[in-house]
Amino acid sequence: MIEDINNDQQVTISLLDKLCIDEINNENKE
Amino acid sequence: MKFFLKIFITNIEYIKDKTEEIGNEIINNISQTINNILHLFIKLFEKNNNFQSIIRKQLEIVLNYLKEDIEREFSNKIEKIKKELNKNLKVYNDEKEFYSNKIERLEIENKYMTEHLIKSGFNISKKFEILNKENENKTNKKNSIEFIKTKLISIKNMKEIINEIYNSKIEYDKKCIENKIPNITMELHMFNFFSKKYGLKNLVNEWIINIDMAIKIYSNEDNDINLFGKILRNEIDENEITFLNKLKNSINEYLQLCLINKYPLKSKKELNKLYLNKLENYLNEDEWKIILYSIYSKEEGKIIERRILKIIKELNNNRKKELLNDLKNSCKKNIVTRDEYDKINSNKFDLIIPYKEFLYIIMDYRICYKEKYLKPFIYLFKKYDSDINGILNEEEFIKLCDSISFIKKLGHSYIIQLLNKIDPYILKELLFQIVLKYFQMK
Repeated sequence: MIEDINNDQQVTISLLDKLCIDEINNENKE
Repeated sequence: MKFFLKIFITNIEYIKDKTEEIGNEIINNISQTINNILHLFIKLFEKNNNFQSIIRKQLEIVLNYLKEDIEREFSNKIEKIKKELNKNLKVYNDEKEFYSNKIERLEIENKYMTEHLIKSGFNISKKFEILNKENENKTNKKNSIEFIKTKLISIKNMKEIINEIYNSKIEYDKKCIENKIPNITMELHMFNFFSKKYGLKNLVNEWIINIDMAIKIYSNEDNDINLFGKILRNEIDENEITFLNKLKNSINEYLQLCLINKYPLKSKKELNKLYLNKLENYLNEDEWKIILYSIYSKEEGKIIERRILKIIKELNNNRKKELLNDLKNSCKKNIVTRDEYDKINSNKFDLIIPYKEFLYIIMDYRICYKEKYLKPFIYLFKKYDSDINGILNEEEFIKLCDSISFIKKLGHSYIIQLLNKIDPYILKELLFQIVLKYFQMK
């Protein structure tokens, strides 16, 4: 698990969630 | 005198040039030559002692200067050559290390592939035989029935075998935790399962080939078999078995509720009969819509609904064709009038779908969703699983974590902490399923 910021709120998410979010963000950037 | 000096200087310059080309041994020759010239001068100018001493001194200065110059140049050259040699040596050492690592890696890969070929019973000649028979199957229906009976496992049998393997794996997982021994992948467990059950190597190989073929053939029509194939290939979470079973139970419960609401006056026995009948036949539009939107949100439900309607349209088109064919067969000379044709074509069929087709779409949506979610992780895991066995060693696991920027930012100590959680007994075998489990923890 990892601490992350979602809608200005600190939340605990799984590493897999974070990996997935980063992947989506990267896709959106591209 | 001047003439001799000129000859002398020309000689010296010539020698200097030569020394640059030839090397250290020439220095001695230069000294020897200069000394000879000196002796010649001494003999020639014996009578004039003063002149002789001046010449000697000057020559000694020139000689020393030349010696120093040559030595400096040589030392520079030697230094340059030394640097080049060291550079080359480093390149060769790096290359040597790279190739020795590659050989080591290939040896491991070769070992794994050999084991894998034996374990999965990958027998090319047998596969050819099966494929040839499969081709015959397309051209000769009678033969194909015999072939399917003898070689191809039926969907029902396949599901039973899969359940047996799953149950056996659950038991094995428990033993691994109790005895603190490394766990194994589902693929290897399947091999052990058949070895234990049938013993004979040929029989085990035959079973594994048949299972492999059945997965390829049935994956597009049965979710359970599709899921099993994905688990064997380390493409999905083993927890999905439980999740999909729960999903299937929920669908059935919603169908029962739907029937109770629809027919409140029917007895339990009648309702049960109706329910069992539905499982083998069609769901009406209201029924599948209630089930769909009870399970999924409006947004997701819409996506699945579009897929269901597409399937219904295809099925209805097929039904129209069947009706036309039936009509043609019943008519004299197989001629259909335009009115009859239009009547069939304008038929509006109900939006009904076979229960099994509906179940497949709902479950397939879930599998696709999960696959998409796991895609970045699976990509990284396969990238660092150098021997492609679904297991990482410690080094590979650290490399995987380092390749994920947000984990790397948390520092090496975080990665070691994670490693300790995943592999508390230092078994040094990090299975895909176990790493995935920890990556999913909140």
